[in-house]
Amino acid sequence: MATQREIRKRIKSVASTRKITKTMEMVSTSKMKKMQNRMLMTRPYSEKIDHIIANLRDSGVEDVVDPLLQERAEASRILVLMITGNRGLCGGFNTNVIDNTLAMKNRLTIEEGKEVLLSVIGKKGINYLRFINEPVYKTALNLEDKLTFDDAAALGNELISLFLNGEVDEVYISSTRAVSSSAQKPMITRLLPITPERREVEQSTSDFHVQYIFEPSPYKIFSSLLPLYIKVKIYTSLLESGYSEQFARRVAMKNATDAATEMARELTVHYNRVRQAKITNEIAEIVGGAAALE
Amino acid sequence: MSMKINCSILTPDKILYDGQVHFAVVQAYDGEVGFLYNHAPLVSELGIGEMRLRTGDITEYMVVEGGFVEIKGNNLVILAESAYKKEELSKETIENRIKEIEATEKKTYEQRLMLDIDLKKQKARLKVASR
Repeated sequence: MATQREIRKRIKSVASTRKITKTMEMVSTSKMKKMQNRMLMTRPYSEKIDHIIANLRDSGVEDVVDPLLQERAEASRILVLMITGNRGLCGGFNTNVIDNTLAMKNRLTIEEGKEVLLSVIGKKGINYLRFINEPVYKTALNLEDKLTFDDAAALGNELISLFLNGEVDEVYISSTRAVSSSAQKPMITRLLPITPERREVEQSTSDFHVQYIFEPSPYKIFSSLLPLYIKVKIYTSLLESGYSEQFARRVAMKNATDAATEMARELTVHYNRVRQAKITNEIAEIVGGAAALE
Repeated sequence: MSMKINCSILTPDKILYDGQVHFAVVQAYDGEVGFLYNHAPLVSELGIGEMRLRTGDITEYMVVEGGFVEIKGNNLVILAESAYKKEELSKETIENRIKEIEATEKKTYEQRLMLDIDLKKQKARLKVASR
């Protein structure tokens, strides 16, 4: 049985761990709030872009063939951009994304015989792929809260030129999306070629009678709007992933703090019991000794 | 009677401006476009240059670097790739950057193109900053 001192030591160590996890929880809560704010700031922008694209479609740009929209008949080389975090201690956040990506890669390579290139963002993803000896096309660190739109734009330009040069036939993003402010899901979405989003149709019917003047021609606007659309998509994916990471970390740290609280409580009960047993034992000895003397 | 249009300027990072103005001028891809009350619905591509928003006698200056503008029903929305208010710009840093660009040796065609665009942006910023 553990001695009093040993138990006391354990209580102390559990309490200090609890203090650390509690602090980390608070840190990620504040980071999460910041990320959430940035996410909300971007939302009107991307909604407006969707809106303009919908308006362009209404005015008959539907049948325009922009290279960014064009499906390749024999898509053999596929690039997957995987977004993970730089740090752990956030529950299943990183592993979920990695598992999801690798499952898709296996499906594509084995079943459909395609070549899949992985481009990884975030230290955790890079390290894991290195550990399992998975070849990686390109790596970059996750910029986390230092991320600016220019960074996302640079990444977007790079992907667009890879696609236009014919080096890759399709580009996917595998990341964690924030479905709502409290639910995150690892998801894979196709970035290039751009899939026309049909959900805009209902919205556009209300504006149907509005005839816009387009300056220059709608086609030109369309083709310069698409790259911006891609960049905004990448930017929001990175932001959402950052938000989800902080959210996952907050939850993980909250659980750790709760577990530590429970453990400290149990240990204290145990400690008191041991202490009481010791006292009882001592009294019994004294009584026994006194009885022997008489 | 107020002949104001609702004007909002959005960048990917933030909402730069949101309010009512009498008259807005933005830099389109091939020249300046002005918007007054009851403008016809229009979508246009933006260039690099100055934006002026007039409300009463007050004029606010901003710089816009590419993007799109949409007006419909007196709601003007400017989707800028990047944009700054005059107060955010520092003349000194811009002038230094211009010197830096002019001093850089341009080796490849792409590099020259990149630097030219940057120079154009810096000059537009300088113009706004010296207003």
